[in-house]
Parts: sequence; C-alpha cells; structure tokens
Amino acid sequence: MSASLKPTAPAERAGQQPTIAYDGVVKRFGSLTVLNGVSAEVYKGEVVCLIGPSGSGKSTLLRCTNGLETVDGGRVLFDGGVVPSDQELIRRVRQRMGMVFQNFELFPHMTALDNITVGPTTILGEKAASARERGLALLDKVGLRQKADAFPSALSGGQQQRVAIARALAMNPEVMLFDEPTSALDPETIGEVLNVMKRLADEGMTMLVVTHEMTFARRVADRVLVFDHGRIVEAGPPEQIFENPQQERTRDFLGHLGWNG
Amino acid sequence: MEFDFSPITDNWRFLLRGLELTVVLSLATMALATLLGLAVGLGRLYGPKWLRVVLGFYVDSMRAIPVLVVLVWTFFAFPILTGVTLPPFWAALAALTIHIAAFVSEIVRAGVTSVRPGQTRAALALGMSGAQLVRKIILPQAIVRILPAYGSILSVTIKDTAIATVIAVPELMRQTETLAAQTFRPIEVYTTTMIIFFLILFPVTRGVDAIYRRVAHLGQS
Repeated sequence: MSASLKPTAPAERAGQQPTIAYDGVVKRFGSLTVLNGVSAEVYKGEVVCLIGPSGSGKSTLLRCTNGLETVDGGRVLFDGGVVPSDQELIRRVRQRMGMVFQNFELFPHMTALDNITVGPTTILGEKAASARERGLALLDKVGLRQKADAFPSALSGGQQQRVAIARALAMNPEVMLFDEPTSALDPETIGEVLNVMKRLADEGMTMLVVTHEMTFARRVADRVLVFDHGRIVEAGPPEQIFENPQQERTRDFLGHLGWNG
Repeated sequence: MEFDFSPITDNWRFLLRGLELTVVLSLATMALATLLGLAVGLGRLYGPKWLRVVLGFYVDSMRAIPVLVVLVWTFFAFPILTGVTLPPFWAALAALTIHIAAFVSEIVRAGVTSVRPGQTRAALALGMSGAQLVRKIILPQAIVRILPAYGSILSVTIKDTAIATVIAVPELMRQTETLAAQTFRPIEVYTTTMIIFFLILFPVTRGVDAIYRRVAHLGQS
C-alpha cells in the first residue's frame, strides 16, 4: 500500500478556502441536542472519515451539509458561502454534492441506468443520449455495465450501493457524502463497495464518509473526526487516531470495537 | 318449475345496449374519478392549509353519504337549486365520479405516504425540486403500490353504475328491469344479468391482481 502523498493537515492548507466548513453547528431534535457546536473544515481532495458511537451526530452532520436537515445554530459553509435553507437555493448546492445512503435508496421503478440518468436529464436538462452514454461509463466504473437494464430488486445490496454511487457521480459533484454506505450490506459485499470508494478517493474526490469500517478509515482517510455526544472529541490523521489516540473517549470507542491498531 | 330463456335470446340486443352503456359509464366514471381523485389526494398532501380542510371535508362527506343519495340529490335536488338540469346519463356520471373520486383520493394519499422517506431524501439530495420529486419518484411508486386497492375501486365502480337505474339511465340494470317486467320472466332475466356482471368483474379483479404481481417490485423501495 502506497503512502498518501496528499497534503492533509489543515495547517498545511493555510490560506486555502475549505470546500466545506462547519462553524459551531448546533442541531436539536426536540429537547435532544444532537450536534453541540461542531466545527471542522474539509479541503478539496480530502477524504475525511467520521467515526464514533451510534447517535453521536455523525449522520446528522452529513445531512446538515446538503440541507436535508437545517441547523439550529452555527453555520455550514460550502465553497465559501453559507448553505442556504431556501428550497430553491439549496438545490444548487445539492447538485454539487453527491450523497450515498445506508439503505441505497435506489429508485425501484427505474433500471440501474435510469437511476443514474434521471438526475442529469431531469435536473440538469442533459440530453438523453449523452446522459445514457455517461451513465454507461459510470456503470463501467463501478463494474456493473452488464446490469444497466436490471431493476434494483434484481441486484444484490453491494450492487445496489455501487449503482447508488454511480447515480451520485452522474451529477459531477465536487464533494461526495457517504452515510454509512456499508452498514446495511452482507459482509461479503462490503469489499466491492469499499473498493469503489477507495478508487474514488485515489482519483482525488473530496469525500466525507460516516463509517464503522475502521480498516477503511485507517487506510483511506486523510483525516478522521471522532464524534461523541454531538461533539468532535478528537480529529487527526488516521495514524494518530488509530495508533496514538490522544483522548480517552477515542480509546474507549476503539476499544469497544476491539480495535488494536 | 319451468325456465324459459326465450325473452333473453329474443331480446339480447336490448340487453347488449344496456351493457354497452354500463361499460361506457363505468369507464368514464373511472377515468374522471381517477383524475379528480389524484388531484384531491395531492391537494390534501401538498396543498395550502385551507385547501386541505376543504378537501378533507369533501372526502369525509363522501365516505358518510351513500352513493345512491348523492345520485338522487344530483338528479332531483341540484336542478332545483341551480336551474341546471342534467340529463340522466350526465347526472349519473357526475354523481358517481364525485363519490368514487373521494375513495381514489384516499388510496392516492395512502400510496404516497407509504413511500419511505429515504426515497425523498435521495431525490432531494440529487437536487430535485418538490415537483420533480413527486412526479418522477413518489407518484410512480405510489401508483404501483395502490394497484390492488385501485382494482377494488374499479370493481365497486362497475357495480355502482347499476344504481343509475333509479334515474332511468338505460344501462344494463335498467334494461334488465324493463325486460323482466315486460316478459314476466324475472328469474331468467335477473339471473342472466347477475351472470353478465360476474363475467365482467371476475376477469377485471383477477386481471388487476395479475398485473400487480408482475409490477409489484417496481414499487418496493
């Protein structure tokens, strides 16, 4: 495995504008505070993994990034601008971010190829022929060219998730948000999805990945953010987080997972 | 007891004309009720508050009032109130449509709300507008999901057209009554009509079920 050559630490990015910035983000569901002042930056080309116990706010932060959830305090910035809450304005932001969900959420009434082309044709007004060509190329990229005409119900979980990744990529996003992309998968299909994600990272895609796959985070992430109770308790390169965690909370969490470095 | 089916064999054209009108009335009612029901269902889901209240009252009314009462009111009371007299066929079409549309709107609503929230999130995350989300993602799945219930409403509609006989629409039931009275052969004539209704409806209900089995996977997210 080759070492990552990308400059990653925020300090090395001085003066550069982060692609995504969280500035004291607060999110409440009723009386429950899910995010309690989260601040972080994600730079172009970075792969940032969000880890931590269930209910610690990782997925909620991801949803606040593209406006699927509104924030109750603080700001989320994308490309220097505050992510708007206006439904029309937020669409422009969403079109520049791809999102992949735990349960795939492929559209069941469309073939794999149509799932991929519906965004570009409906939202961007791309011509059907050109969208189809790009869609087939994307299916190729995730190794599912031969499944172009298959409906989601005929695909395995791993195949569905790879189509879902292709669907998100079809919008030519600048950032990809992954919300526990392998948590609903059978163990034997997790690898095929992680491989696709790894290749995407190698191509320089900016990625935020909520995951419980510590091996993936260790190998692919440039930085890891450790969440607990709606806060980031530790942030750093994977070497630090997994081999030399500075915080008791991080050690506890990794210990519970049986992680031993 | 002797049976004599000659009144039917001699007058089959008379019954056939009734059957034709029953089919036309059924299809027209179903087409209009589907469009109106879709609009009402979507209006209750996505419309402004005042519209939801109005449409909710309409649906509750239709669920509480027998279709026969709606029909008779449309034919006898509506003209007195408005001065607009509807010919029997049009009165029957209007009354049946207004009644059936309420039930269509309820299954549309149920179908739409049964599509899981993740589908909405996925469509919005792509950057779709609310209208694109409903048209491209939610409605196609909802339509598949409500097919069995829609089939039930279709068969109820076909059966309900028989009440149009009370305002003298010459559909199958009216023709049957006329024939039975004129020939003094109620057993043979009414039995024939029962069989005709069964022969129409049995394939319809089975057909809808068969279609649903083939397309069910398209609605399963």
